Amino acid sequence: MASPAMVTLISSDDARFEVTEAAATMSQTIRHMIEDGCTDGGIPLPNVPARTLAKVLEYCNKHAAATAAESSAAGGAAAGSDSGSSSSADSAGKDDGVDLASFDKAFVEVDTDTLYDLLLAANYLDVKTLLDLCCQKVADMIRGKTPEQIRQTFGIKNDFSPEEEEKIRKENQWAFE
Amino acid sequence: MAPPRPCLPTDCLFHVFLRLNPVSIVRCAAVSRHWRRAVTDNTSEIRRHPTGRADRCLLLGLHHREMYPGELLYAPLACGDGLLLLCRGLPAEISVVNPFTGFHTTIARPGGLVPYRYVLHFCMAPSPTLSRITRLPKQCSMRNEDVSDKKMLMLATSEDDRLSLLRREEASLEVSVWLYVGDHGSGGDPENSWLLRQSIGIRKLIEDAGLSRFQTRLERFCPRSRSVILWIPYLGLLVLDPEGKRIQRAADDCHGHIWPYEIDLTLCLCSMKTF
Repeated sequence: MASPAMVTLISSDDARFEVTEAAATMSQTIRHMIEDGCTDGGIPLPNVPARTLAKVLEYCNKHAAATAAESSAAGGAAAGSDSGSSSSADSAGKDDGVDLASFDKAFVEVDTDTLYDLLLAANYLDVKTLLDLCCQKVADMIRGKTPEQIRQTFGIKNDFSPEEEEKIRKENQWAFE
Repeated sequence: MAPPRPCLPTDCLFHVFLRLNPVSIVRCAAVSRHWRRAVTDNTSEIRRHPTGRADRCLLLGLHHREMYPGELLYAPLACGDGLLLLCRGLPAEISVVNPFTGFHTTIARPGGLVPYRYVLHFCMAPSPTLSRITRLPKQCSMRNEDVSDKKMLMLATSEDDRLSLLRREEASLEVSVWLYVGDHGSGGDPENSWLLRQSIGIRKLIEDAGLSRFQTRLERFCPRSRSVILWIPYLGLLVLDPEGKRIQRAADDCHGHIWPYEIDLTLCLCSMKTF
């Protein structure tokens, strides 16, 4: 079996990461760069620091591996392998699904700074499932909170004057009761 | 002290808003100028985006009837696009009101027409003078007092802005929703103009909630969330979800002086001031 195609990614602070093409192309941004043949000497990602890129790649590797396992299991079943092995592949696929969900859940159990960085990186790299995951996490953190609690959670400065705040509150009173 | 965090770009925040309910979105708009702009710049997308769900939540507004000025009582007739249609008892006068902005205008009421076989349908925008009469399906005919006092029949707007009709069956405790599909003028056959869209049996829900000894009354149909609002004397308002699986208390009874309507989220977001 041929070794999988690898690409080199370069973070904003010049750290180099070797990853499989399958994992890297979960990012639409990187996929387009590979398609355009811009991979010589590594792909520079000037908006993503090494710490965040490592985390994003951990996510991409896990998901790319799960996708590969799934498609090979499906391929094996389609090729008519004996019933015993195909059913074991099936159950392995299901385990992966549960495993992946718990991996995702644990993946975004991070401090707010890291979550911000992940969200920005997922947005820039255009990794849709990771963007969904991070946005859902942020949304879960917002739900049920007052504006002041939201500011505290995300470390946002209140730049409204007291008069403006009063106007905002009056405008849609129902949301603040 | 930690260095200030960079702002999340507007498009990231937009993706977050798509996963929030209306209350949280409005609260987000009160967090900071940047967050507020992220809401106001994306108002229509937040509502219409296919993965968004804010628009399917019922935002129930309650008007107290006495709030309208004038010596004569105003009775609400209908609502849509954030506007209320009000009728003043005497002299016959119909007004269009926007409760958020205070906009108020009077429109001509065409004669004294609200006979029991017909309903009056008002097209409020763009021309408030447009009004017309539509014949009801035969199954829905009833006496004037059944409509005006018992509120067994109600005209509403469906979620795709078509005319719809709600009927509460007294005997079977059922709410049926009819959709106006034909437009054949006044000579048209009403049997082909109306389509029975949905029939929700509420007997079990009413019994499970221990409300079976009370009279229920149709109060409003909320087209965006497709919820039906019922009123029970002494108890108040109840919300029936669109699948007819759940009935929930929404407000106490204020001696019938409250009038529920569906708040238009887009209008709320659009009318936000920017700072």
